[in-house]
Amino acid sequence: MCYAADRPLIESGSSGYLGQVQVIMRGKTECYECQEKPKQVTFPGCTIRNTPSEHIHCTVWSKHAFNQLFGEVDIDDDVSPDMKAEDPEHPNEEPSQEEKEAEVAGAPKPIGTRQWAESVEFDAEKVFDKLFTQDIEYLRKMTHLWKERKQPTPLLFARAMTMGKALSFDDAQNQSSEVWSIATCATVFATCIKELLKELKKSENPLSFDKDHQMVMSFVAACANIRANIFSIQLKSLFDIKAMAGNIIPAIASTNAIVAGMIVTEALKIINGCEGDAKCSFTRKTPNPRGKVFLDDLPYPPNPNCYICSASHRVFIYVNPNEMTVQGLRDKVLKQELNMIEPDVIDGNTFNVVISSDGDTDASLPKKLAELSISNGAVLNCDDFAQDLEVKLFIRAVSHLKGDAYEVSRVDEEEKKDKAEKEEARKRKVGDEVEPSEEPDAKRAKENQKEAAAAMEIM
Amino acid sequence: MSEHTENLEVSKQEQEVYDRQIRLWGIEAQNKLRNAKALVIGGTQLGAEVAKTLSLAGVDELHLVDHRLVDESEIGSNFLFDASVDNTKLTKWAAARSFLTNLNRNVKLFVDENNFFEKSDLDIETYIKRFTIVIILDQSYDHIVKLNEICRKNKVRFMAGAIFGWVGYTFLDFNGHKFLTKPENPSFPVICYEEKVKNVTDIDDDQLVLKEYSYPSFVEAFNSNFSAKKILRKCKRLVPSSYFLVKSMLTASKENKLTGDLAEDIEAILPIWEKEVVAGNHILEDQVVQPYKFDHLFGPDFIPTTACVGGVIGQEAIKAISEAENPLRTIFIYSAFDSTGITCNFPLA
Repeated sequence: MCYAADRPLIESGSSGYLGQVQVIMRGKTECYECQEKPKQVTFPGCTIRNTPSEHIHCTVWSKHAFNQLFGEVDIDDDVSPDMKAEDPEHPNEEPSQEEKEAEVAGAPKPIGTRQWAESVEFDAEKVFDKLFTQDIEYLRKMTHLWKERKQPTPLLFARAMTMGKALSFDDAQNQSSEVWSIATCATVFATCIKELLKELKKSENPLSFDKDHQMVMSFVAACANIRANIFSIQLKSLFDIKAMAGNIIPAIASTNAIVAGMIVTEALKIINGCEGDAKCSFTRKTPNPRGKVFLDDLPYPPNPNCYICSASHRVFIYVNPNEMTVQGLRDKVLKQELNMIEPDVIDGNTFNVVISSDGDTDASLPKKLAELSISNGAVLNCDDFAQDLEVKLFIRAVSHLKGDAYEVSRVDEEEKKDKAEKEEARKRKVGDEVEPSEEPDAKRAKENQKEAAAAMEIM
Repeated sequence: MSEHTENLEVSKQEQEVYDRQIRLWGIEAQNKLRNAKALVIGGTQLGAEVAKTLSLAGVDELHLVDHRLVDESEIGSNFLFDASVDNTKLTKWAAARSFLTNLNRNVKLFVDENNFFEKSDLDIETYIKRFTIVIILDQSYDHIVKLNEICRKNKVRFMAGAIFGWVGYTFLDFNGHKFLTKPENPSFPVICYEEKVKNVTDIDDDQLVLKEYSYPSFVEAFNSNFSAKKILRKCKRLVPSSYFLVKSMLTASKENKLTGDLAEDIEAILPIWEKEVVAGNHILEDQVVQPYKFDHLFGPDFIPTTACVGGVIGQEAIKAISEAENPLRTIFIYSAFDSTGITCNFPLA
């Protein structure tokens, strides 16, 4: 919006000791979209459902389990074993004939976890045994998964209760930074099921995950640890699981004060007409070789490949046209990835209207792109009147992507490769000077490199 | 340093209040903060920023000293003061008391309305011994020097700081104090000994090492000799131009050159600044801030500078109390003119 209205925007944020302030001025500096933002990490469904190898996989699974039992049911969040799943690390290993037969024989009733739980009246022990014994036994039958992995060990509620000292729910809360015993996890699991069911019955809407809701968080933590134990993964404390489940970003007053101060400084410069003096700033935990704790940098110039502020407005998108649907293109690529609000899409070659914001084309939403003759090399003109944004979408067909999966790039693959090589060469030159970047932010990593280069110059 | 006989652990309730910061600096650091007694001298806007950070961090006792009354210009600019009432008959910290009390009720507040520097040296020494850290803000050169010497002698962590309009600084003296530090860090000259710490909280982390740091005194840090041959060439790189502004203001304070009249004070600063720049082997014409902008060095304090310098002071105080992370060394200077925040590891050697 600021871009459309040609008003300067100061973008900022803080995370722990790190803070950053970025001045964005249309045409003069790079815009918010010029830099690719780091994506939120997601895990493949089969890792979550079948073969967790890290605690976070169990935590994600537990959040799904919570949703299945008490929340809004999302079919993508199924927690039962995924029979069709290939082994992500050994995609070519076909399930054996035997396994296939076993699958057919055991023909799992396609019944939702919620429905099933209701059928046993949310009996904690039965739910426990279904999730942690039956489902796990089922997983064990998929022998191709366990050729190079340790098989999970099913766990019965009765057995779990004997594993270590069982603390009551309240006592367990006071041990939030300790790792609970399995018996404690089972007790907490049972208490939470009972209490959450009460809450579900009282409320009109399904419950939703809330990291600050004691019952919800305890349920997720207990579940995650039980599952972790089954898969021989190190258990974690409620405190740590909360950070993972809630994506908690630590915040402190001092960094926020500093960032706020920096924002006002830059704002004043712009208001006073000294735009040329405006700087982008970052805070560091420790001084760089020049002693700087606050790094100041002139705003970067616009990225010529940016689809928002460059003249070209080009985005390259890698999809499998035989798999991706028009709806996927609209919702995942245009709305989620490119932040469009009401996109209209016209095929640049045929001038067919692919997506219309007034709903005229809704009939073709479930169709695959290939059915509309959108294939490799297609150029889609995407228009969003809601924010006066036009983007040319270049379709690149790749066969390895499944469903609505896509990859996005601001530059053509060939150009990209070239650039990557140059980047690589530069990195090698800078060599050891580059600090191991602790920051997740890609921007900061870039910053460190620049700095290191500067340090080289002065030495 | 005072010996803590009591050693209070952070309670469950406090753990919830401090959740976000414990995730950053860990429960051990929070426990150390929980037992810390901090003294802040100077109820200026910078003092407000520092008091806010220390209060939110959750220190045990926060002692606030200032005998001066609230100035009319401070109402509405110092966020600790209730701007809807006339506070001018209250001393600075007394006017801030209710805000700070509400900010964090776990912190015990003590407001001292006496003129601190009317105490005898002996009284001061007895008084400061009980504190984990002493922070002196916006005070005269002589007072800083005197308090720094007493704190060094008694091994009390010491920080000083001031705002000069658009520029501000903080001086750190954690001489002889230990910090849990990542072992390899060539830019930090580490003196004394190393000692392996056994109970490292996170196994994934690099092994942290308890290191003792040595710091120069305030006088040593601010009277670095830039004329030595091997330092001559380094000056351009290691002495930021904002340093000369801070040094000039301090020198003017030391020599009692400041009258409070803007025109006269700018006049007084100019020759000092020229001398300092030349002594620091910098070129006058290249300075970021030229004399026509010197009015920016005098009041009212530029709030963003206060926030940035206050944030750093608060942050470094927390590091020092919790004995964690690499502390900054000797002087930190923020300049809003060019948005820089630079540490000066002075005296140069």
